[in-house]
Amino acid sequence: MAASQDPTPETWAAVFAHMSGGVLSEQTVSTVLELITSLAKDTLPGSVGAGVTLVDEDGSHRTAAATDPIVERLDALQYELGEGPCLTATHEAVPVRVDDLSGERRWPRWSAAAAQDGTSSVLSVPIVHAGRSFGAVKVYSPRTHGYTDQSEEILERFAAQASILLANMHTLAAAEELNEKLLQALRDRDLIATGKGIVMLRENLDADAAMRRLLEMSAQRRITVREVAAEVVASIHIESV
Amino acid sequence: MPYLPDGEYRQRFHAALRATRLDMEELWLRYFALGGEVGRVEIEAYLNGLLPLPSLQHDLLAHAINERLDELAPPRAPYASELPPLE
Repeated sequence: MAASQDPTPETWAAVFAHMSGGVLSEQTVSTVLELITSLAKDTLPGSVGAGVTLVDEDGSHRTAAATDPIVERLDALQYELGEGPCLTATHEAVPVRVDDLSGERRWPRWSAAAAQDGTSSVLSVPIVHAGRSFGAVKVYSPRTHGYTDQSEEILERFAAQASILLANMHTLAAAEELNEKLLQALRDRDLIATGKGIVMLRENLDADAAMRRLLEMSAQRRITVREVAAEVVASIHIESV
Repeated sequence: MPYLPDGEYRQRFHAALRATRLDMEELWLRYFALGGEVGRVEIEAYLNGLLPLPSLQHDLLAHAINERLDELAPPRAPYASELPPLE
């Protein structure tokens, strides 16, 4: 068992205060994930590196943050072989701890390559929010039995922080997309209202009748009301020039 | 003039709506973009046959559905009148 000293509650308070401050002030996810991985490496002594694996929209995996090249190597190998502790942690949404990779049978090819690269134990915890798995946070150790139940609890707290961040980023992206759709709808509506006003003047119609004219023209010519309105507006512009 | 389709008209309207594969949010946004004046909740109530709407609002909703169906439809052959005139 690794000689990891117990962090005091004060250390924890400092670590999480640091992280919350980071979440508030940093603009990009990757910066915060880098911070989370470097804190994970520092708070789990004996680790050669820590990293975060994320699942992209298309289902592919990538390492979003890694403290050391060995993490990138071991992660890339998991994605390439389609097997490994972080993939299992991500897809089964369970923490995966391996005390001795030389005896590991679940991912024979990856475990052999990792052992060759000097890694003997690994701990990988899923990043889950509201039932959705975003990926995993992992640490690698050159010693067997590098991690304990307590290490698992600690890494789970980092994963919880990462999950809040990622869930928020996800919501933000969805909100931005809706925002863009709404702006487009407002632009269309504006153009159509302008076209309607021109038809009102030109054909001496009230607002509802003018709108019906636009709908008729659109249906007859099988072009959108927006396109009809754009033509009406453009025709005024030509007349006035 | 309030309007609330029933029976066969309502069924036809719903069949067209289903064919658009739009959810309420998307349908309402398209209706709104055309100049629709009624809120999402009222549109949903109208579709459920609970609340009548002015006929122009119905037509805007129908038009939003039909424009979407045109987007999904396979290409159509052009008529001679749509072709550029021959020299």
